[in-house]
Amino acid sequence: MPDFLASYVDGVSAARRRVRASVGEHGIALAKAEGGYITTWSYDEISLVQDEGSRGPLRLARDLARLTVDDPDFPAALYAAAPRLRPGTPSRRLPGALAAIAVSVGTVAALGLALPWLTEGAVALIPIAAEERLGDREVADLQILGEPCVNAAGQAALDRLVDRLTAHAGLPFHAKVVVESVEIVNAFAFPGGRIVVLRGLLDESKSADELAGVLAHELTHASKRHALRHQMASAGIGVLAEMVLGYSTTGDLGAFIAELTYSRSEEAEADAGALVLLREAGISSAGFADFFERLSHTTEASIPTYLSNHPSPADRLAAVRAGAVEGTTPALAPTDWNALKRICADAPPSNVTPSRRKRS
Amino acid sequence: MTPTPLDRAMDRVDAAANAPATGFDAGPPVAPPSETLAPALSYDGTTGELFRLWLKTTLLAILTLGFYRFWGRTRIRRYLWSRLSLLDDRFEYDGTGMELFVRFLLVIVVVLLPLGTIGLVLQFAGLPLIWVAVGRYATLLVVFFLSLVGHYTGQRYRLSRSLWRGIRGGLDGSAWRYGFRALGYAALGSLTLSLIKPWQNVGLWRYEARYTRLGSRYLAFEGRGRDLFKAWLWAVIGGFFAALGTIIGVLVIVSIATLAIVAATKYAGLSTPIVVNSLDVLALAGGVTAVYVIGLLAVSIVWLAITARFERNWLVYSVGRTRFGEIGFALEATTRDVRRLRIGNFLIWLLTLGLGWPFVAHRTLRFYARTLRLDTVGIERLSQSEEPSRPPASGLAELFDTTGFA
Repeated sequence: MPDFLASYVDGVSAARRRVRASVGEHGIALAKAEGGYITTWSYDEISLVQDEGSRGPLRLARDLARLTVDDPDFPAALYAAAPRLRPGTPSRRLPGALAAIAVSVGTVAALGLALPWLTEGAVALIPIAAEERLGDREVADLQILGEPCVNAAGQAALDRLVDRLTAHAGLPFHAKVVVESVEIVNAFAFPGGRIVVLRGLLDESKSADELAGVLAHELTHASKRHALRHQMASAGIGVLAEMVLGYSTTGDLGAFIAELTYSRSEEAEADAGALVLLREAGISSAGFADFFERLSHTTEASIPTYLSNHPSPADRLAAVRAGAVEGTTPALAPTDWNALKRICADAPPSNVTPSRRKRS
Repeated sequence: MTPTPLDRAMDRVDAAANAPATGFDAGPPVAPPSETLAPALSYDGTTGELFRLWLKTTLLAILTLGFYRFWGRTRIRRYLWSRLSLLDDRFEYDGTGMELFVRFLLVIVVVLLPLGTIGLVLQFAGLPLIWVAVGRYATLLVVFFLSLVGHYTGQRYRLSRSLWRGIRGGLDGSAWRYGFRALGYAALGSLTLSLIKPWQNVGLWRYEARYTRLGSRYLAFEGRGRDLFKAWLWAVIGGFFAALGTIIGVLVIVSIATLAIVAATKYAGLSTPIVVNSLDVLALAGGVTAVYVIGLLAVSIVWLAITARFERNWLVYSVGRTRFGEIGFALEATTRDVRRLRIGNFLIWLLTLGLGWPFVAHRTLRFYARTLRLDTVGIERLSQSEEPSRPPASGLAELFDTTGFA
C-alpha cells in the first residue's frame, strides 16, 4: 500500500494534523505522522474538491473533513484504486454540454414562438381610449424634433382630406393628423390613429392625391394597430431578454430591433388597405404610385426617410400600380391644397436638416 | 510596478494635500500595527489561467443563450477561492450552478414578472401622466431597495459556500433589516450631499461584520463616523472641483474643435459653414453622445482618483478596527495602491459591460492578499458552527447585486 504525507482536518476544528495516508483497496487509511491510527475513509463516502485548475494539491472531502495531499504521485495511485473519483475528461462531458445547449436554445425558441401569440393577446386587452392616450403622448414626445405646424386654414384642409379618407373606413378611433416642421421626407403612424407627417414629405408631394395615398397607407397601419403591436412585442422581447440574459439593458436592443421597421407583410397590408380607402373615398391611386416612384429615384439621405423604413419599393410599386383605383375628383380642391401646402408658414424652420444628394 | 503618469500626478496632489499648511486632514488615527501582525494571506491566481477559464465559460454562456452563466460563475468562484490561501491552506467554494439557476427562476416569478407587468401597464394602459411618473419612480425605488437586500443575501450565500480547513463561513442577520438601513443611509445621503457617507460606511459595516462568521466565531467592528468625516469632507470638496474642472475642460476642447471646423470651412471658401447647414441628425446625435460619454468617463476617473485617499483611509480604519475573536487585522496599503485598484476595476467593469467581473474579483483578492496583515495566534481553536450551514442561494443577488463577486 503506497503511503503519502498529507494534511488533515477533521471538519470540527481548524486544527491541522500531519498524517500518513495509505491508499488501500477500499479506502484511505489515515495515521498520525508520528504513528497511531486515526480513521479510514471509504471510497464510497469521499469526493474530490474541484478547484478548476491543475495547479495545487489534491483535496479530498468526507463531509466537512478534508485531506490535502501535495505529492505528485498521489492522484495516479488514488485513481487506480478508485476510478470513480477521476475527474471527467472534456470528451466525456461533451454529450451533456450539447444536451444543455439544445435544451437552452429550445426553451428560448419556444418563448420566442409564443411571443407573437402573447402579443396578440395583450393588444386585444388594450382599450381604444387607452391606445389614443398612448398615441397622444408619443406624438407629444416627437415634438422634440420640430414645432408642430398650426396654420388654421392648412389644418382645416388637412382635416377635410382625412375626413374624406376615413368617412367609409369605419375606424375604431378618431384619426388625428398633424404636420411637424421637420425637413425630412417621412410620416409616422402612432397608436390610436395619431399620424405625424413631416414637412419634408408635404413639400415633396406634388398633388393632394399623392399625399392622400401616403395618409391612406398610414391610416391603415393605425387601423390594423401595427404600431401598438410593435411596441408590445418590443416590450415583450425586452422582458424575455432580461429573463434569459439577466441584463436589463438588452431591453433597449429588443425595442430597437422590433421598432426599426414594419415587416414586409405589414407594409403590403397597409398598401392594400390604402387602395381600399382611396377607392371608397373616390380618389385616384395614381398619385400614390407616382410619389412612390419619384422617391425611389431621387432621394438618398443619411437620416431615415420614407423609403428607408418602408422596405422593397419595387415590388410594392408594382403592387400599387396593379391595384390601380380610378378617382372621381381630386383629393382636395386647389384652394384647399394651396392652404395645406402653407400649413407650416407660421412655424420656424427646424434646426434639423438632412444632407440630401441627388443620385448621379 | 512602475508608476503611471496618473500615479505621479496624483502623488503630487496627495503630497500637497498632506502639507500641514493647507489644513487638509491627514486621515484618522489608526493604531500602529502590532508586532504579531504578519501577512498570512496569499493569492496565486494568474490572469492567464483566469482568462482561459473566463473565455471558456463565457463562450458556453453565449452558446446556451445565457443559461450557462450560473455554472460558469460557479466555476470561476471555485477557481478564485482555491487560489487564495490562509496559512498555506487554500479556501474552497462548494456552491453549485444549479442552486443559483433555481433561485434565479424563483426570483423571475416573484420579482421580475410582477415588476414587468407593472411596467407594461404603466406604458400601455394610458393612465394619467402623473400616475405613470409616480409608478415609474416607485418601481425604481423598489428595484433599488431590492438591490441592497440582494447585496446582503448574495454575501450570505457566498460566505455560506466558503470553507477554510473544512470550517464553513456564514452571514446571519436579516437582509431586509440591512436593506432598510442601507436605504435610510442612501436617503440621508441624498439629503446631505453624501456628507453622511462616513456614518453610512461605519453603520453598514458594523451590521454586516457583527453577523459575519467563520465556523462559530464572529467578526466585530467598532468605529465612529466622525473619525472619518474630515477626510470625506475634503474628498467631496476636492472631487467636486476636480469634476467641475474636467467638465469645463471637455467643453472647452469641444468648443475649440467646433470653432476650428467652422473656421476651416470658411477658409476653404465654402459659402455655408458645413457644421451649421448640413450636419445631419445622426452625426449631431453621435457627436453629442460621444462628448457625453467621454466627459462622464473623465469625470468618473477624476472622482475615483481624488476620493482614493479617503477610500484608503476607510479601508485602513475599518480593517484595523475589525476583530475576529482574539485575532486582529491591519491593512498596509498606500493611496496609490487603492487608486490603482479602484480605477482599474472601474475601467474593466465599464469596458466589458460587467462581463469582466472575474478580473475585478481577481485584482481585489490579490490586493487584499498583498496588503492584509493579521495575527493568527489561536486560529487552530476555530470550530465548526452549529448553525444551519447551507442557506439557499440568493436569486436577488443574481439579478441585482453588482459587486465584484456577484
